[in-house]
Amino acid sequence: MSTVFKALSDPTRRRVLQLLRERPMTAGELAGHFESSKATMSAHFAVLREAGLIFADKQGTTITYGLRLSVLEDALLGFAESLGIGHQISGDPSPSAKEGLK
Amino acid sequence: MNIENRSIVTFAAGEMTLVALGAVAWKWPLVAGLAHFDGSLEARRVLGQVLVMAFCPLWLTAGWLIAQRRLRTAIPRPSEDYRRWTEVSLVAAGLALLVMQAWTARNFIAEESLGRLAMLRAITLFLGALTAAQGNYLAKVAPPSGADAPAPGVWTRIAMGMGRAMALTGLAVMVCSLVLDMPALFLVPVVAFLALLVNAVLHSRALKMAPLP
Repeated sequence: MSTVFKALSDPTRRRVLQLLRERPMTAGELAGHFESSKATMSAHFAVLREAGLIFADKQGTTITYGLRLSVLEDALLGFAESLGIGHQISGDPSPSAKEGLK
Repeated sequence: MNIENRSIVTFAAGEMTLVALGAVAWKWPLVAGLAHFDGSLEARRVLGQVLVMAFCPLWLTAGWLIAQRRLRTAIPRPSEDYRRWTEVSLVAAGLALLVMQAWTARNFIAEESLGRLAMLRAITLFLGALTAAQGNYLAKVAPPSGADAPAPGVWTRIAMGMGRAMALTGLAVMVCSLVLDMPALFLVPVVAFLALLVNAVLHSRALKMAPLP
């Protein structure tokens, strides 16, 4: 459970989960939504995979990520998002976070 | 079907069948007396206990056979995860039935209703917790595959909706099992079962109507 808390404590990783709610996306598509480097995004994906919150489907050189949240994890995600956990520390590139800082 | 689950269900169904037959044979005059059912408290106790003892092995066997048939023939093909989720749920429910039937048989043989309310409360609490746990895990289960399989995103969204409804129903059942008394307590599993059935039908329909990938 501590890996789940660790994964959800970062706003970038939470944003990744929000994006995956719509549909599964490739690593490149997901990385396109953020200003972080690909190496940083790969580290975020690894943390989310380790926590079992996403699954990866590798086809050739393309990795597609999909959501794998339980109801409790989904509730924790909403809770962490509403409290803005981690925004003050790392800064969130998402528009909602920027509005929250104004 | 995994060998451990199959062994547990076979053992539980066999044990419950033997307990039911053994208890009825032991107290045959009581059961034979039901032919002249007079609606008295005693007659209702005997009838209720006989029905519970007969229901438990029948429910487990029928539930297991229906689930296995569905898992084998369903289109789109359920994932391995989903099969495990279904089997573990049935095994847990089967073990709860085993305890409930053993206690009922003990009361039937002793010709009393010792701890009837406490047993019903405990079983309802357990079934509520099981439903909440099942619902919690549902969206984590891998999507079905093969012909007519929905897009993974659609499956995740629908499974999450169904999981939330199941988890909330399970929590409501747990609360009711702790605060309600008879006869309302007796109705809780029935109402919860109907709510879960409606939930399953609605989400299954939503899955069928979802666009294919």
